[in-house]
Amino acid sequence: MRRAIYAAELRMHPRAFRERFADEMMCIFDEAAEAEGALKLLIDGAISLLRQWVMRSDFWKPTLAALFTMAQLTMISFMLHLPGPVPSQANQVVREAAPTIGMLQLMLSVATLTVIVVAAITFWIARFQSKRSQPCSRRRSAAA
Amino acid sequence: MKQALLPFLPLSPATLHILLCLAGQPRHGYGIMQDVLRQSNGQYKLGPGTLYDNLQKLMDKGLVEGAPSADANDDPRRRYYQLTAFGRSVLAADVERLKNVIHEAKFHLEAPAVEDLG
Repeated sequence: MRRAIYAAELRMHPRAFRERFADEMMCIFDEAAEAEGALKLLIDGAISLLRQWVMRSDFWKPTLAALFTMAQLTMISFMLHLPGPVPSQANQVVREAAPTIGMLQLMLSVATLTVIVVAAITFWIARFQSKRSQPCSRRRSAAA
Repeated sequence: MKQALLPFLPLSPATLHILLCLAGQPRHGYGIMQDVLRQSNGQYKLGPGTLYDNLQKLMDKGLVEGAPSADANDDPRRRYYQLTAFGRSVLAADVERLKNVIHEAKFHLEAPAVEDLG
C-alpha cells in the first residue's frame, strides 16, 4: 500500500524529473523503507513533489497568472450584477443598462478564454523548450 | 580563485555533502544518502527528494555526471554518479573558502573578549 502511494507520488512529478530519477527513487524506497521508515520517505516524496512543481517548474507561472486574472474578472462581473438596496436609483440604472451588461459579460468571457488559451500556449512552449535544452551530460554522451 | 568558480560559491550544505561523497569514488543514490549521514555523524539526513533535486542541478551545471555501474549484479534501476573535473575544482574552491572561515573564526574566538581585557 505504502509502495503504491510512493509510486503515485513519483508519477505526479514533472516529466523531466520523473524520467530521470523516478526509478532510482523507487529503488531507494524498496531498499530503505524498513530502515528509514516508509512514512518518512512518503513525506519526503510529497515535499519533493511540491518542490519540483512550485520551485523547479515554470508550469505554476501561467497557471497562477490565469487564476488571478479569472478571479479579477469574476469579481468585476459579480460587482456589475450586485443588486442595490430595494428600488434604489442605482438599481434602476443597472436595469436600464442591461444590454450594456450583456455586452460586458460577452467581453469578459472572451477575455477569460483568451487568458486560458495564452496560458496553455505558454505552458506548451515552456515544455517544448525544456525538451530541447537537454542536460549537459546527455548532450556530452550524445556527442560521444 | 578562478572567476569561473565564483558563481557556484558558497555551496549549500546539501551540495557540499554530496560533492564530498563523490570526491572519493562514484556512488549510487542510496550510497550517497548513507555517506552523508556518516560524514555528519548522523546530524544531517538527506532524503531521496532532496538528494535527486540537488543531483539534477549539479548534473545540469556539469559538476556531476553519470558513471558506469561498479557491480554487474546491481539492481538495474540503480545509477552511479561521479564528480567531473569542474565539480572537483568547485569543491576545492569551497573547501578553501571554508578553511579561511575557520581560520578567521579561530582567530576571533581564541582572542580574549574586550570585556575580559577591561
